[in-house]
Amino acid sequence: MLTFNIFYLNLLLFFAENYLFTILLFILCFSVIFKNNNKILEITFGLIFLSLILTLLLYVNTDCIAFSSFINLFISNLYIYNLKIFFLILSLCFISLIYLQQIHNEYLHSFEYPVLIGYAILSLLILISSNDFLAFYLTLELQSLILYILASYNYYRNYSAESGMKYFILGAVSSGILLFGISIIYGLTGITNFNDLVLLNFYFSLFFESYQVSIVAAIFMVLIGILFKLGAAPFHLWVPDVYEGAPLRTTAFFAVMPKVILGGFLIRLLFLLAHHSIFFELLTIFGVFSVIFGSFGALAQMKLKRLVAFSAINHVGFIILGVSCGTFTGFFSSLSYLFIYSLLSLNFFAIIFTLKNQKNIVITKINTLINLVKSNNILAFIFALLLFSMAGIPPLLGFYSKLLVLFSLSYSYNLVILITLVILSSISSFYYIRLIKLIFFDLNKNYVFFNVPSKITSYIISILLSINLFFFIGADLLFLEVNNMVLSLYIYI
Amino acid sequence: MILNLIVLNIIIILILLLIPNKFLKFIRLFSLISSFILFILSLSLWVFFNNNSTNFQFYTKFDWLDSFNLTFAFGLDGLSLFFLILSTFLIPLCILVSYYSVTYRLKEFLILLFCIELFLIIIFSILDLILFYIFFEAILIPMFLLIGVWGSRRERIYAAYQFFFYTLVGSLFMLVGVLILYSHVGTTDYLIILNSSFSEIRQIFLWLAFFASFAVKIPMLPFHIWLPQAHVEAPTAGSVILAGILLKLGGYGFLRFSIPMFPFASKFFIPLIFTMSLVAIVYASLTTIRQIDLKRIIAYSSVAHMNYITLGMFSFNLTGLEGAYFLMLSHGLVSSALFLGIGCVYDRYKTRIIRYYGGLAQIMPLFAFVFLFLTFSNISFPLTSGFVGEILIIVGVFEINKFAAIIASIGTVFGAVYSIWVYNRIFFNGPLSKYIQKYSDMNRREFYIFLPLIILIIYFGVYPNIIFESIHLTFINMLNYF
Repeated sequence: MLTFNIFYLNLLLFFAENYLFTILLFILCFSVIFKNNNKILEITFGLIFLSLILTLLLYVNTDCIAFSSFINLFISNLYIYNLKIFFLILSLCFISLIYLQQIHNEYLHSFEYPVLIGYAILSLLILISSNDFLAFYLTLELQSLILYILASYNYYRNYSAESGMKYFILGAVSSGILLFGISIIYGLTGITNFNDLVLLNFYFSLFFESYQVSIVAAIFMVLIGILFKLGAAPFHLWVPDVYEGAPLRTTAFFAVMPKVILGGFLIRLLFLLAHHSIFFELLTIFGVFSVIFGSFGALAQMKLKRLVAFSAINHVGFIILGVSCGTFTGFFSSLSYLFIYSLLSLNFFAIIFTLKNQKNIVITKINTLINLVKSNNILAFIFALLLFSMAGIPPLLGFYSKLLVLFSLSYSYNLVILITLVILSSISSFYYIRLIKLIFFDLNKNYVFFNVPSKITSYIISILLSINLFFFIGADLLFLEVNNMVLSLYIYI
Repeated sequence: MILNLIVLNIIIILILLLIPNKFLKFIRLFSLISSFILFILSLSLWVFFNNNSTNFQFYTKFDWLDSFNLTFAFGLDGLSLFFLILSTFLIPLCILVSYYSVTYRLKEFLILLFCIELFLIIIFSILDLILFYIFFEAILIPMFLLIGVWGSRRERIYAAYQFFFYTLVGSLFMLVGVLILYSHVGTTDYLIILNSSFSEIRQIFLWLAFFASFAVKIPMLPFHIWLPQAHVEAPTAGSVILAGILLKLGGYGFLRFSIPMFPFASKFFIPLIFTMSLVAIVYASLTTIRQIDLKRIIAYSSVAHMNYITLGMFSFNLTGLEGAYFLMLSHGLVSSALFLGIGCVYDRYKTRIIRYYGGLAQIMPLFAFVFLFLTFSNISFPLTSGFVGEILIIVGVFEINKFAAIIASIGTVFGAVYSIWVYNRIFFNGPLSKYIQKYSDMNRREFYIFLPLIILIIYFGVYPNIIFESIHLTFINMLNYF
């Protein structure tokens, strides 16, 4: 706070992000200068890790809850604050996992990778606190461009280039649709700010029965843009191909991180549109489609990353269905589902990262997991517990997220969706159970010998295991925080 | 007191997890002794049980999730007391039977058995609907692994899948019912739900949701297909747990949840339950007659016995209800004993197909005597505990619908047919079968497995009042809802 310029209070909101931005520039320059060093990759990873830790510390210590800056261009409330802290901690775990996975692998050929990840994290941080369509679009595009590059990082493999290309083209089209929707809203009402959107919503609900078709279509297009990035059906066709083609570390990154932020953003946006039920009904359809495609699509998959893709579609369907109730419980359940889903995905990728065979190559096919119990029986058991959790078997972690979403649906008496969801839930549990069968008792007696996991990854896995097993003892901790977060959304500055 | 059991069980699991695999003898002895300690602790629950009160005894409660109004409430009444004791009674027998016959990863097997015991203790004593559901489904995890990993042949994968998915789909429908009930009442505390009333259509819907889960567990007729598969492919200890306790979870669910909470719907669906039960009794008994696999015979006879139980439960008079309860306990003992007997035979000769056996009584006279006694208990012969249960059920059903009682007794006759025929084919069928090369009668360990079971079957058959005096008040209370 040594500068006292006219932007001081406005920039205070982004104190930590400013730090991250500047330090990333410095790290980029530093690594370009020393790019001929043998260990430049490890140094860059270490520097990015440190800078993220410092960003987290700065953010925690900045006094910026209930804040708005640049005349409501960006805001901060408890929701955004907690989400950003959770996101930063998750990103720290992911970066350490990616680093530890890459030590022996020579596919990661240049130092730009961690810097790009740093920029993606920065853009996601700014995205969640945006209060205006324009700010949202700009940060979304920044994040998307970085992820397009990261998806095609192994440029000499066909799969990677193809997935990057698909992601780029389809992502550009969806951003186009998003921008078109934003521009229609601006054209009809002159509004880009969310605070004004709330007032528009309120006055429309007072004076008119419902929106005019044009504004509904425009907001619908915005929602389509966001749902595309999340990977909901029927906009999910890119997800399996891109997840499969991208290198594993990038898949790990964009299976979780953008979903946390974009899902959080979706909840915030829908909160503002809560007076009109048409959007929630639309979301119901998308949610049910997502769960259907996610459950049935994954049944035939034999490759691990495609399985992850379809299970991601399934989980996103649950998140959307949680929001589609439109009640406080609905938002609560959706946000809890986001948290729990990201923890489960982190656990999943941590275990997949540790399973390297003797040539230090990670798994591509599911059948490689055969009889894991023979080569590493503790890891097999932890993996089985994680898979039971993702299938939604109590008393493990994943059950509570499903319970909350089903509860919010039953509270709003959406019985048809409830029963459909329950049936699809049991269908989708099959592919997790099939993995458990492969791990423990397949008829084929072969097994693949995996190397010993590294120490830090083992710590991460064991912490996540204890969360998985003992969540139900301390479930109140998460639920009270999420409760406060959703309550803070009611406050406008 | 119940918390003591649970915490001790968790400590046993933790200690077992930490002992390295090379101390196998110590692991076996430790798990056997600790399961005995758990059994004696649960017997002490019976000692301190007050027969003259209708309250839930040993009631403890502490808050779990304040934001959702959910509490952990434990309590026992006559209904759950004996199931708790039965579950802690069967686990030492399971450990004894797998003492030397499980060679692959015995430590993990024992850990899974103790996990099952932990979940069973919690299920039978918990008085909160969502927590009941959580632990009801949580049993799927260890049972799935038990059937899949320690089963004996190829079909175990198919059996494990069937068991898992039948139970999962049924339980998920129950989850829908639980959630709607929670939105209606605002809490899932059992004692509060007992005092709230539901409209008739809502009762019907909720009863059907709960029925989906309990009908799969019992199992009632169209949903029984998992049972022969799971019983046959499971290891001996797994079959004992399945037949002895897990089937009773369905009956316990009906008695604890469906009937007190939804009395109108329970009366409304009496014709449905009666039809399904009668068809199941006759059909299962007839199917058993043509089976050639020993375990499958006992599995189908379990289906028949459990459907006797639902027949008695839904007759809604004191005789029927108490008969159903007593038959559940007796079936827990008899069915487990039969599976243990088949386990003995399987350990020696590694086949369960009846055609390979014949004249076994000549080389295993002691075992032949024990198995004959168990066969008679399976038929519900007088002086065994099964007789008490079945006679009470038939008398109870007779008051409601004479035709149903007649068909039920025909089912008993079929039961006698297959049981005696199986016994004849295995033990008495002329000279010793040429496939049997080695002669060894029951050893001391197996004798001590059967001894408590036989003593209890005779004891409960001759003096059943020792159980009845604790449960009279519970069932009289239950009948007050009608």
